[in-house]
Amino acid sequence: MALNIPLTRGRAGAGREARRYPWRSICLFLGPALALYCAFIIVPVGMTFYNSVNRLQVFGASGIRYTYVGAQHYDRLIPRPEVTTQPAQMVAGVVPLTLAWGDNTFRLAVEHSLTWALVSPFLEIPIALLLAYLLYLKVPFARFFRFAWFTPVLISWVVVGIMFRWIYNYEWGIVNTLLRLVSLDALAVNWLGRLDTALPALIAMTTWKQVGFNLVILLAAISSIPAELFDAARMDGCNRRQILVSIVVPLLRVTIVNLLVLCFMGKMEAFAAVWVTTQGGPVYSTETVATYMQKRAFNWQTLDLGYPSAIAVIWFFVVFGLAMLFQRVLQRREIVEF
Amino acid sequence: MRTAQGAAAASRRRTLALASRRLSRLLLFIPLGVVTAILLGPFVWTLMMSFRLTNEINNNPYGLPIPFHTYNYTYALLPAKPDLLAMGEAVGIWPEATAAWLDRAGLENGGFGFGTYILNSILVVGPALVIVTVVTTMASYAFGRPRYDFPGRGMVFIFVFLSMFFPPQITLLSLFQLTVTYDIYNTRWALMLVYPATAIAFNTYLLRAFFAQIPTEIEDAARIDGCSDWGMYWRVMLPIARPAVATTLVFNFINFWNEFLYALTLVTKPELNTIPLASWRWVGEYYLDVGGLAAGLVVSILPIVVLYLALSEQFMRGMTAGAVKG
Repeated sequence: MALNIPLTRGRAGAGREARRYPWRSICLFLGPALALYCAFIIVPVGMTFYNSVNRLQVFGASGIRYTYVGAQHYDRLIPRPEVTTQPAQMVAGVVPLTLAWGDNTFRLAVEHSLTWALVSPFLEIPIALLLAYLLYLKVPFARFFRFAWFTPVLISWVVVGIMFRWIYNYEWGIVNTLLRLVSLDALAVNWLGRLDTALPALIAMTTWKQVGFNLVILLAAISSIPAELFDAARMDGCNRRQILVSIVVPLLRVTIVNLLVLCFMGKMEAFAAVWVTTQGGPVYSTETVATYMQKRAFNWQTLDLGYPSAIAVIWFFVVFGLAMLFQRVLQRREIVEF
Repeated sequence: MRTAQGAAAASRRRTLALASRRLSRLLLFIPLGVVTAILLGPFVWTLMMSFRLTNEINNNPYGLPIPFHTYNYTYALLPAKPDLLAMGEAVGIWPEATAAWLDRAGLENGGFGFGTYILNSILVVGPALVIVTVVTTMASYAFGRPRYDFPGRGMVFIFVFLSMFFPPQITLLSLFQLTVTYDIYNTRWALMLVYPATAIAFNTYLLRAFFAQIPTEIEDAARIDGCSDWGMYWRVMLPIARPAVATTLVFNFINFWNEFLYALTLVTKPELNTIPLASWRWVGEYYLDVGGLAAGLVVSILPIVVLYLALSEQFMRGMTAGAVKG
């Protein structure tokens, strides 16, 4: 026991001796990670903040000229609320304000990213929960299904994107082939090439890829609920649907909120899924904040890294803030421990 | 009499109940089968197309691979013509002979040379995995054990942990600039160092929890035996943490292997492309060559699929670690 004394922390003790810390070892163990972390995460974050108040012009491979522009980029990017009298322009139809956007493409990108990030969780998680519950009810070959359905999670966006370009192909894609097979030719459209179907098609694609991920996590969580709870509910006359709604979902609250935040963040950052399929087109109808930033930085020949940096900073606060908010608001209620 | 009848009726009811349960079991397989078809269908389709010629696919995209062609794979894996001629010369084959052989095989310009990109991926992901594993196990050990609980350790940990919630865009453009400054832009070093850095937060978060729950008695015993701090980490703690390290390894492997955004931004030389970038470039150049592209996709997902078949539970645990609770 005496051995434990120098090893436990002495903050609580009133007569706390000055503890000697093995600083050399601490530096040895933490040093490399912190160095790497600072060099490739913290310094770049700081630089992005600094760049966002400058105009950066790149000359050749190494020369970059900075011009301080203050909040100019933010002025253009952040929408200003203005009073309006026309109901059609009001926020949510009732608030007598309209948002004046300085950069209309950015506005579209924000709308698409938010739509994506708010719709996806309500597709992925319920589908995954239903399937997980199905597998939990001792379906034969449940292990095989779990194994098979997880496969898309492991595949890169590039491969998924190319496969879905084929699947959505107007002439010979599987979606249209099936629609024509049941004589719904009118519904067979160029899914990735139309303004109104491109974003939903991409949302369906991300759902396809991520359902297995949510499923495996939810199945693990359901399996960790003690069987007695299910038995008790069954004895009280609950059917399977009631068990799902009133036992499984409340008990899995922590996991579900975690998945929701993960899914939300993933879609707010969506880049590769768009880049390999539509590249933001047709006519910006699938532009996300990430793709717009990339284009402004490298593809538009605007030769300014400051403006996309300001986009990154704004988006950083939006994503980080909303993720924290969701965790706070949804996770706040006391958690049922089992 | 009545009882016999009753028994017969009961047995009939039982058979009926059993039959209906069987039926509902069978009906259950319909949604399960549909979901499986939706989730695995694209892979099966791609695999079938990869063994067919593009003009066959154009006639009927859903035909079976009969006759069976391996031409697409030859094209995907064979190096480009100039590389191939040079390689032939190196082992004493006349360029003319190589060219004639290519003509006979119907590959006048050589292949796409996917092997190079597989090698690139291995050369980037391998070192990155080593770096991130060494660095984060060390840090998590110091974050997790009471012996190193210096004042402010919790703050340092949160400082590292928070970056889990950063969108990659916040570092991307500056990393582009920084890699130019550090003189590693357009080299494998850029990805080899950036990938581990992006994984530090999550790895440390997972491994710290694991190290923290190892009983102190083990440490005490080793210390009495004269174990140094480094020896404690290397010979005592790391072996105990092997299952947790395996989990993070899988997670990191999948993420690094499939990474697209940094690879696109930090490496622009085609000859240094990793697999995702090479596949993407291939679509750009030969979108209409469906068969060839399908073979490329199969080749690019093959390493992951093979590993997944061998270590499926490990993969599921690795990819989903940290999200079940917490």
